[in-house]
Amino acid sequence: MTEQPVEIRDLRKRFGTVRALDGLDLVVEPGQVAGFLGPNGAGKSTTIRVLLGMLKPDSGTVRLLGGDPRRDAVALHQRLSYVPGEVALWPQLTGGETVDLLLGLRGVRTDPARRDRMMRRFELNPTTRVASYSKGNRQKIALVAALAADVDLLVLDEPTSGLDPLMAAVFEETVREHVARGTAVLLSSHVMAEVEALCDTVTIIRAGKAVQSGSLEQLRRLTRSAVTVHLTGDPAPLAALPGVHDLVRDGETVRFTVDDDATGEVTAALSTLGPRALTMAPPSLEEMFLREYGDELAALESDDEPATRRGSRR
Amino acid sequence: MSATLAPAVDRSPAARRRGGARTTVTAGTWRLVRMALHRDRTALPATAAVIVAMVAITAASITKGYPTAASRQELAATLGASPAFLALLGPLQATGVAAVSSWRVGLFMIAAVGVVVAMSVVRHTRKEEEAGRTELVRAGATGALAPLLAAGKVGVITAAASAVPIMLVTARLADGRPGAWWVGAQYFGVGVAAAGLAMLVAQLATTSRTATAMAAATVMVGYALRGVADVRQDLGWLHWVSPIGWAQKVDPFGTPSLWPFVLCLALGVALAVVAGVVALHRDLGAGLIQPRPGPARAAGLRSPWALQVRVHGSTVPTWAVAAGSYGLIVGLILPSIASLLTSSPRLEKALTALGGASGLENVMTATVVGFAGMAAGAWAITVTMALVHDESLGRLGLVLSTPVSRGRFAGAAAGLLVIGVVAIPVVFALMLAGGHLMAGGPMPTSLTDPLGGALVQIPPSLVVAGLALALYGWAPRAVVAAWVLVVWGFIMDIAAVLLGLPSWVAKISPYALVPRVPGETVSAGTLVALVAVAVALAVVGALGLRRRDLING
Repeated sequence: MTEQPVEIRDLRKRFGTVRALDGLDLVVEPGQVAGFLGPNGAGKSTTIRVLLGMLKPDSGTVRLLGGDPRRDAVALHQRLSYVPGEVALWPQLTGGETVDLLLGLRGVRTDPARRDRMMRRFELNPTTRVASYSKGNRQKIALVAALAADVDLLVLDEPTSGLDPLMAAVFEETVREHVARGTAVLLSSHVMAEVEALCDTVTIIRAGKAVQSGSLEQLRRLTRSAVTVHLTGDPAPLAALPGVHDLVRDGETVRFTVDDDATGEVTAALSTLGPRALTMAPPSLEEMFLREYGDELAALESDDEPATRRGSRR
Repeated sequence: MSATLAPAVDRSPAARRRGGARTTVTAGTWRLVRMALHRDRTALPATAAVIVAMVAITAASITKGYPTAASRQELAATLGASPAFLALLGPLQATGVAAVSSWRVGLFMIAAVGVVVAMSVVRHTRKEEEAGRTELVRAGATGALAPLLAAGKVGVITAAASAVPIMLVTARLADGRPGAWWVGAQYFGVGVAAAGLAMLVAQLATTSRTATAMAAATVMVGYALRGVADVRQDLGWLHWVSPIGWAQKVDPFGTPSLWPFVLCLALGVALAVVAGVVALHRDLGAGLIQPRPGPARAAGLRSPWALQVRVHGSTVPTWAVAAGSYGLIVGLILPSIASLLTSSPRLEKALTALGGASGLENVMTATVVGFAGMAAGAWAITVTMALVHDESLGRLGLVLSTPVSRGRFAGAAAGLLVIGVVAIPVVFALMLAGGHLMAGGPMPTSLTDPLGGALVQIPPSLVVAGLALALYGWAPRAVVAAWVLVVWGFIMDIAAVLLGLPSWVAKISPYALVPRVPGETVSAGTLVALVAVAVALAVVGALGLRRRDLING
């Protein structure tokens, strides 16, 4: 498994006049968990459908596990599992039958004990008909089918959107077990905490284009940490330093943000000013995400025309 | 905008209640009716148009085929008196064009309207509830009974949308009035009763599939029971057990009677009231008929083929047995045609042209087996449309995310279609033969005649299935267009010759290309050519499926 699980370069896909994907780049390295972030309609599911060979790209390069997603679909799909964002199953079948069917279609001979363990872990009753399952339970069925066998790549499209926090934790734990065995994961999600907890790399997309991508560390380096500190001295010298932004003083409490590469100088300067109760927080993924979509958020908050929401062309 | 309105109107909830806005259990009913009619804006007029067209075409063909009063009297004395037609169409009460046409489309079409109305009511009640939309509606300012009542009203409107045009068409015929009013009453009365039935069944069954099947089966049982009553004098009371029997007792062209019509309406209202009581006392999503738990393990469910058989295969026995029941009835009454021959010299003369009693039996067998062939084609289209539905929900995407190629999936679908298209006419023929043998039909022709007829129907049905697959492969939303072949075949079967249309018009449907068996000689060339066309269409469909984007991956 030396080939790259996912390699997408300059991918474009139109639906009629709508540009769903507009030059997207996305890479998942072997053994890594790649987070795929973006608001509704940014093109996440379209990308995944192209990757699975269900949609034909208009242009660009798409390689899946070293093969062509359309031409080599059958061979490639033997090595991956997929959980769709909107899980539609067959209402006549029971949960247990559906899991067996999906595993059977993949040609997997799973250890029945492992399957049953997964069913119990996700608290599923295998004799209930799919028609009477909730959205969360349907999603759990798809997850059990995907996670009950070892594969080279997991493709997960918002897999926890219908799960309660307890089940989301079970999901994270199970994915970690797969990663420990060397499985690569492409995880599209809205849940920042989940992406931060699981992912090695993150790609943020907007209007069908990757606007940020890299490891979480790299992304954090591009942004600023938030500093809160009690100072007995005058903070004026701090404000004059390059790399310090948005300094606010509230009695003894001083708040500001600092560029990642200025951290050394700023902490040196701070130590001369009698600091107490110092906290320095790296930016959360949520803050990075909101920064990428800051203009959109501002537009929404100022009660502007919704049409200016650039990310929602679809 | 609200700033300009606010001073004029007190918009607080309390004020609205004071102002007479409805807060009853039926609040919001008309809003839901308007919404339902908007959703049905193509389906409802299209259904009504097909039903009315059948009536109009039949009237035209009767006018052309039996132009004189004498010829129609001949018809009444011969076919009209035979048990076969008594069971299927009821007795013929008069010999005017309107009376004969109403008899010819008659009770079967009335039952069909009942089924259509019931399906519409279930679609707007249990199906909405299943999809979770009723929850959304009930969370709004709508009463607990509003969705049910709205569906009932849509059902009544659907019944009226068929009954009124049929009444107008009938009234335009020479002897149409005053019978036309009563014909309209027959359709409307059965429609209202069916709406009430469906309202109740939708409260009892927890899935719309079960509800539709129960309502449709009840209507068709009513149709069959009145047929028994028409053939067996001693069982005449069976006329009074179902609204279809009551509709017959309205008797538009004999001695019209209002009471059976009132009975139909009363039954519809009574069933609706019971449905309302059940609805008020049950939880949303609940019902009396619950799906049972199923197996925890899937035995042998490991291929797209097994999946197709499991999910859509159950429709094959349902359709085959439903069509076969009709075959059984026809088989049971076939021998009575022979006995009629000896009892009526006039009939004997009329039948000589057809080749004697066996000639009439052949015509009857070939005609009903032809219907079974069209049923097989119709089944193939509904299954293909179900595949499109699966795809639009993302089920096909899930299957294709596994190592299943599109070609293999298309192969599984084609395999299921072939099985159904073969099984439906064959089961029909076997049940017809069974009925015929029970009634003392001769061996082996009682078996071989209908079976031969059924086999001949398979190639044209395969062409319909092939066209459905080809459309599925290239333009999945257009699969519905394959209905043209079946509907055209059905209309041409009863009307082409009588309407004097050029033969190529009739032959647009593959069903018109095969010989009528038993009776006509079979040319292997035509059948082989049809099968070849079907295979080519299926291959085209598979190629299309391999190329195109999924509707929803």
